[in-house]
Order: sequence, then structure tokens, then C-alpha cells
Amino acid sequence: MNAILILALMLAAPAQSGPPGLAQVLAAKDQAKQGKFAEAAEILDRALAAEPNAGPGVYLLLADCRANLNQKDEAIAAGERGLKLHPNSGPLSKRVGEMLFQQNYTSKRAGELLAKAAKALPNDPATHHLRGQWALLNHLEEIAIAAENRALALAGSNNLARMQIYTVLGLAEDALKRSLRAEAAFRRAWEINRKLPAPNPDAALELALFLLRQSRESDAQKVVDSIVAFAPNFSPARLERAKRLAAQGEMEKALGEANLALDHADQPKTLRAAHAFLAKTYFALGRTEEATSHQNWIESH
Amino acid sequence: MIKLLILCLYGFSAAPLSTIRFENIVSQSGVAFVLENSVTPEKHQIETMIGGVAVFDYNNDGLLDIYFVNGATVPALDKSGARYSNRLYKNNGKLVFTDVTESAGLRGAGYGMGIAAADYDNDGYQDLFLAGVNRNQLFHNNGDGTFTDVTARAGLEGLHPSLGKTWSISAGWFDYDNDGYLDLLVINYVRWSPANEPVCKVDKIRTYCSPNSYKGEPNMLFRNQGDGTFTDVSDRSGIGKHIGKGMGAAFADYDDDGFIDVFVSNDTFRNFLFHNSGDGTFTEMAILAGVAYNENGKSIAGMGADFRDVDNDGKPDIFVVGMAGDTFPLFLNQGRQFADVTRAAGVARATHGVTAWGAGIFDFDNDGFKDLFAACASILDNSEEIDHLPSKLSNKVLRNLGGAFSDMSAGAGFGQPAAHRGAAFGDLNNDGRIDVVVTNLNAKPDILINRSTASHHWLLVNLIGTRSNRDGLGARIKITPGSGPPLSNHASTSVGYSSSSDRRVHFGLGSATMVKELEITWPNGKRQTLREVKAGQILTVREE
Repeated sequence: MNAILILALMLAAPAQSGPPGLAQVLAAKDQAKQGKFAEAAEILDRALAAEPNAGPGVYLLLADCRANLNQKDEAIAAGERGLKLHPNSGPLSKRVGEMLFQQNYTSKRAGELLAKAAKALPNDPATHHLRGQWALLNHLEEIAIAAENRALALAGSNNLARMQIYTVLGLAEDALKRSLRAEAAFRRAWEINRKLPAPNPDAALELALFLLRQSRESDAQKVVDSIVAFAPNFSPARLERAKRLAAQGEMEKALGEANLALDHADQPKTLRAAHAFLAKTYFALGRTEEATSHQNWIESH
Repeated sequence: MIKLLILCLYGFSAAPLSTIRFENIVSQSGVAFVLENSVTPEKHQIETMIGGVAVFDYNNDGLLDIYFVNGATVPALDKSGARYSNRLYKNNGKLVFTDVTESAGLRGAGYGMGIAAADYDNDGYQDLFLAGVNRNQLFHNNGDGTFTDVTARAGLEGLHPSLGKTWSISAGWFDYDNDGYLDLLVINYVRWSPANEPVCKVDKIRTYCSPNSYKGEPNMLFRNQGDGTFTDVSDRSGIGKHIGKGMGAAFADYDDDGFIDVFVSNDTFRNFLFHNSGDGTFTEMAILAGVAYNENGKSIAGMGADFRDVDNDGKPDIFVVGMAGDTFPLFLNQGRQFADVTRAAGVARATHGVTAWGAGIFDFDNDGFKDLFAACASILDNSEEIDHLPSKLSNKVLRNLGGAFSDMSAGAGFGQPAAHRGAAFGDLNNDGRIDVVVTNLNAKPDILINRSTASHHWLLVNLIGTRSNRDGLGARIKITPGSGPPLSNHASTSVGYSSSSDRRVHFGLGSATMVKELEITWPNGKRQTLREVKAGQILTVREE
């Protein structure tokens, strides 16, 4: 399961805030609007110290401020304090569940809160989508599918959301070994994705990887070629193209693609994958010095 | 009209009809062994890593016997209780076994892990090396049904010069210098002691730690001096310079230079491929040869491995099993390097989302194409709580269709899911079909008798080395059946995870009733050729 993809998709989900209950909260909200999250958080801390029985929106605002300050633990703590007072608050459950999920995708508490949020906010597609992602990463695929289908029904014409939802559905169906349904979902995601103003290569690659797992190399390569066309610097797609070329015996072309993959690798795992491919391919061609340099890189990292 | 309907129904059939089928006969076999791992609330790492099994003929009666290693109390690692005894089961024929542990003197000591069976002193009787947590043991087979612990005399306690006793998880016998005596590779895992067990929790639930919580250990190579003693050549050979988290070891001469090479699978660390230079040293080649990582360039949680010719091109290939999400890599040998065909061959599709320990490459349906077997189970015994995955899984068998693999597991008769671990392969009833013994945590083993019904022919070759090692380990056999392409295999007991398999070399012959030519290349390079060999027999060949 591609945890990085899922978390990246999650970051796009907008935060929600509830209504303020104290006079200071208005000031805090104003500060937050100006990006002065530290000042806003200080005001809210003082307000809550004086009057802890504030509404859920106050705790939500405080949690958001702390999150914007990259104070994740404090943000979660603020949200949990609010949940003690307002255990049935949908927005608070959603926000705390989301933060816990981002921090640790196996968090059971995150799952509990997102389930609660989904009940409290039945018409909020983002909540169902969050719950679907949590369920997928925790191997609860049937729950994920149900949640994502609910999100899909509510997503309307939001094509970015629909693409994300179909991708999660594809991954969940694939995990359940229902390959026909998985492919249908991945294909829907792909159709939507390629029409987006900025297509998402990570999501598109999931279709290619699914097809490769099904031993459908040529179908997969068509998708890979399309990804390269709209995201020429996307390292994993370049590397998949290199593997295909090498399997066809076109070694020089394969090396060219792999070197592009290496040049554009922006994550340790894609960097290592490119070096590993180059090491074995140069070695196969008898170009030992170049092979060894890539081997040395791997061994020293 | 009816014909059309039938064709339509076939079109909806989910899987091809299985031609590989097993029957678990443990309940009527007389085997009462239960693998005791001593589960503790502290979740000591050793508990989930045990344990191995061997199929070997200790009394030379022509029937494979079974030996199981067992655990001990934790943290004391005390094996004095009878429930922790290792167990030797004598094969009486007709698939009935008798526990002869006490008379054989094979209770063992400490918390056991792996087994390697072979005749290290060339006296005609297979001996046993046991890899363990707190001690290793070498048992010499006296030839009269008893064994003697000769560990200290042999110098095989497993004490590393700087680390002391390592956690040895498996071992294998091979003759790396072709001097006619089997040498010993000991696979070590991680630095571990019960006193320093890290605490790992998921949502406040204690669970087994990831290997990343421990430092890896180097493997060790011991050269057989030919006088019952061994010399530690780990550093001199280069083997000891590479620190991994070793799990499985498999042997084959992958580049056909006459010297046996070594593949080691590592847990969450890249695999090792030690190329034997022929001068007593090895060069680690996994990255250059393309077997260090899976197809995504990822270090897998490598478990068991086997090293045999899958595609009948005469070159040994590598199959490694791993953890859910890894898929189980299949590397096809192209001479000096390997091609990863995991996805193209259908192995990724069948193994995606599965975790396995034991592994083997054997032709279960005797159709002339070697199939893949994986003994499956999650690593965590509480994976239901931790990550909503079943801790007990069914085994997997993938049938080789001649390049692509088809998952035949559903119809293979594997029965209930279990916490499977090591697997040993061999023909327990000498019917020409390869059977499997699989250990299960805190339960009786699976004794999977091969009941595949295809009327294919077979040959089992029992090698007796005279100038080469007595077991003929490392000998390569190429046969030309009366029909079909040439087939190759080699003698090795080091298969899968922590386990030891039948030393006899098996061939499925498909429809061929005769082998036109059988060529053996002994470890010392000498070739021996037999012609017009009848199928359906156990053929004993003595080195000329």
C-alpha cells in the first residue's frame, strides 16, 4: 500500500472550524486569518484557561493553530481536550482523527474518531474519504470501500476528489483480490486524472503497478508512457520504462531512462531503486566501473 | 446449445483445475510433536522466528525420517522440560513414524532455530547441525541409531571472535573448496538478549519489534579440516565482512565455474549473493547481479530461499519469500546476472499481500517444470489486533506452466490456516512425488503427502560420493528425457527457512518413461554419464 500517496492526498483535505464561543476567540480567529498562529494560540490558551467550557469550535481553532505551527502533539492534545467536553462533535472528531492518522496511520484512536465523525457528518465527503483511507491502510478493505463509495456519492463534480476516491477503491479491491473491480476503479481514476489541470502521477502509477502485478506488461507500459508524457520528471515512471526496455534488450535506451529516473529521484527509495537498476544493467553490459560506482553509492547510503 | 453453455461456464471458472494436491496425514502419522515457542508478554523476538525441520535418512533404511527443533523456556532458554525437547521421528514405512528421540540422544539443548543435515565426515551416515539462540550443536551420527554431541571437539559452538555467541537462525552444508569435505555456513540474525529486549507497541499493544530495532550480525563460514574439526574462515573468506540479518541460505553454482556460490536472504536488508572465487574467498555480488532487492528496488523482509533451475535452461534461479507487500521475488539466472521476473511470471499477483517463511522449488506434479512452494503465516501472533490481518495463513503452491505460474493453493488440500514456519521437502513414501513437512507454532506440524494424480513419470537420484563428499552435495545433474527438453537440478539439503531437505535429487519427467542420458558433474568437476535410465525409480549412483 502506498502510504505516501495516501498521506499526500490527505493533505489536500480542507480543515474545518466551528463557531467561536468567547470574545477572545474572535481576536484569535483574526490573528489566525493573518497567519499569526502563535499569537492566536496564546490568546486561545489564555481564554481556555479562564473558561475551559468553551464550544468545540474553540478547541478546533486551537488545534488548527498548533497544527499550523507544526506543533502536532499540542494540536492533538488541544483537540482531545475539546473531545472530552464534546465527545460527539463531528468536526473535532474529524480533525483529531485526521491528525492522529497523519502521525501514525495504524492509530486505532484515529479510526474510532473518523468513524464517529462519519456518523456525525454524514454528508461530508472528505470525512468519508479520510475514513476510507484509514481503513485501507489498516487492512479493513470492506470498510474502506463502503466509506469511499459514500464519499463518491457526495463528491459531486469535484474531479480531484473523485480521482482520489477511485484510486483508493482500486487499491482496496486489489487487496481483496477482486481484480476486475480493482481495474475498473483504477481506470475510472485514470480517466479523471488525465483530464485534470495537473494530473497526479502517483495516482496514475497505481494503475500501472496493478497491471504489472497482473503480468500485463504492455497495458502497463501504455499507462507509464502517458505518465511520462504529462510528468516527464516523474522518476518512478522513468524507471518502469527503463525496466521494460531492458527486458526487451534495448539496454542503451534503458540506461538513458534510468539515468533520467536517477536525475529526478526526489525520495530515498526511488534514488536507491534507480542506482540498483543502473548497477545491474551496467554490470550486465560489462561496464564494470560504472556498475561499481552505483553499487558503491548504495553501499554507502 | 448445451456445449455452448458448458463453454460459457468454463469461461467463468476462477482457476484452472489443480494438478497439485496434498493430504495432511499428521493425525494418523504418529507424529505428536508440538513446536513450543514459549510465548511471553514481553514478546521476545526469538518466539516468532522458530523453527526448522529436517527430512533425512538417519538409519540408511531408504526412508526419510523427520527431525524437529524446538524452543525452550524464555528468558532462561532452558530446555530441560520434555515439552521443549527436539524430536526425531523414525519412518517405519507406510507413513507411520515412531519417536526415537531418547534412544537417539537428540533432545538438544537451548532454544533451537534451524537444522542442517549432511554427512560431514563421509562415514555414510547423515549428521545434524543445529543452529540456535544461545548455542549451536553438532551431532555426529554413530550409525547405530544414536548420535553424539561433538560440538566442542568440532569447534562449532558458534562463538564469534568479537560478538560471542550469535543468534544463529539457519545453516547449510556445502563444499566450498571442493576438497571432498562438507563445510558449514552458519546464518546469523541479530544481536539479541532477553535482558535487552526493546519494547515495541502499537496503540499500547505489545508486539514483536521490527528487525530495525536490532543490530545485524555477520554470517560465519567453517572449513571442514577432514578430521572432525572445523576452522572459522569467516573473515578470510570474506563472508564475515558483510553484516546483514540473515534468514535463509541456498547454494548453487550460478555461473558454472565449478565452485558453489551462496545466496543469503536478509530480513529488511538487501540479500547477499556470495560468488565463490575458487581460491577460498567470496565476493558479494547481489547488487551487480540484480538479486539484492525486489523489482521496486526495495529490501524485502527476506525469509526462506531456494536456488534451482526454474525455467529449464540449465542455470539455477532464485526464489525468495518475504512479507505482505513485498511480493516474493523470482530471479531468473542469465549467466552472470539475474532478471527479476516476479511480475511477468505471475508470482507477484499470487504473492501480493502474503507473508511466508519456508520456501522451495520442486516439481510437485512431475510435469517437468519445477513449481514454487511457500509456507505462509504472519510474523506477528497478534496481527489481528495490530494491523487487522490474520496471523495464521494457508500455504501457497504456484504451478509452473512453463514460464508463467498459476496459483493452485485453493485446491491443493492445505486445510486450515496456521502459523507456519519452516518447510522441508522430500519424498517420504518413495512414490516419486515430493512431500512437504511444515512446522507450525504451538501446534503439530503439517505432514503434506503429495497426492497429485497426474500420471507423470519421475526419477530420484541418490548420489554417493567417493572422492567428492559422500552425500554428493553440490553435484549437478543434467538429464535428457526420452521426450521433452533437458532438465537440470543439483544436490542440496539447504532449502527454505531454517530447514533441511532430502539430499536426493528429484526430477519430474512428464510423459517420458525413459531418460536417454543422465550426466552428473560431481563437485570435483568429474563427469559421469548414464544412458537409457528407466523412469519411476530411485537410482543410486556411486561416483566413479
